[in-house]
Amino acid sequence: MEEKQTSSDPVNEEIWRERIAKTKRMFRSAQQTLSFNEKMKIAFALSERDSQIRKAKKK
Amino acid sequence: MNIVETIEIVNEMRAEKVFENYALGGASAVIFYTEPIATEDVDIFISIKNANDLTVLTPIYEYAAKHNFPVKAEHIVIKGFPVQFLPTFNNLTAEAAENAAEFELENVIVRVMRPEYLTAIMLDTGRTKDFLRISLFLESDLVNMKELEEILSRHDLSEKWKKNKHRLIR
Repeated sequence: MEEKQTSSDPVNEEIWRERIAKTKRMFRSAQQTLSFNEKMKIAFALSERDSQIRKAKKK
Repeated sequence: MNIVETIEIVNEMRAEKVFENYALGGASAVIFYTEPIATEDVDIFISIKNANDLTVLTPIYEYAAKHNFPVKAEHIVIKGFPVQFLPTFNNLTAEAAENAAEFELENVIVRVMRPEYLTAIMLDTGRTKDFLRISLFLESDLVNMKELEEILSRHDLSEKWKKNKHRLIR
């Protein structure tokens, strides 16, 4: 029978902490490869998306 | 559409003495150092003599008209990016613009407010999104804490920092 892990399991939490840290490291590394121009274009696209969501909520 | 072309124009405006000096600030400066966050404009803080004068932005709008840059509400669209020119409005923003860091992007120099000054300005402004951005800075180890504390002390922000520090540093 398979042992069920819970979120309170310290081993499990350790694994998740390491996974989150790894993801953050990968994300930061990816950011560094983006140019300022690319980041600004994404930033404007995010703003446009937020604006669309606000408009949709008003309807 | 390339932000570097926009900055090149801002550099030309400075060279033509439309304003004395400038620094990229606000969300665009945060993006410069970290990751993309939603923004609808490029904030350029400018130093101008007689900043209390109501006609302080006139030379900027004249420059825009002369070069056919469209004006949309408070923005001037330069090479596809809406730019908001903001005269420095207190000692903190003036000092931040004066002490901006210079970087080179595709052979173009860009002046960007340093993370310590951006953190102090965001703390002073104090909106929810400002606190989120401060957390982002701190988490990325971008802020020299000693320099930050000196800036906060000079601009009477040490108390506000003490009150909020626990929410920002994990």
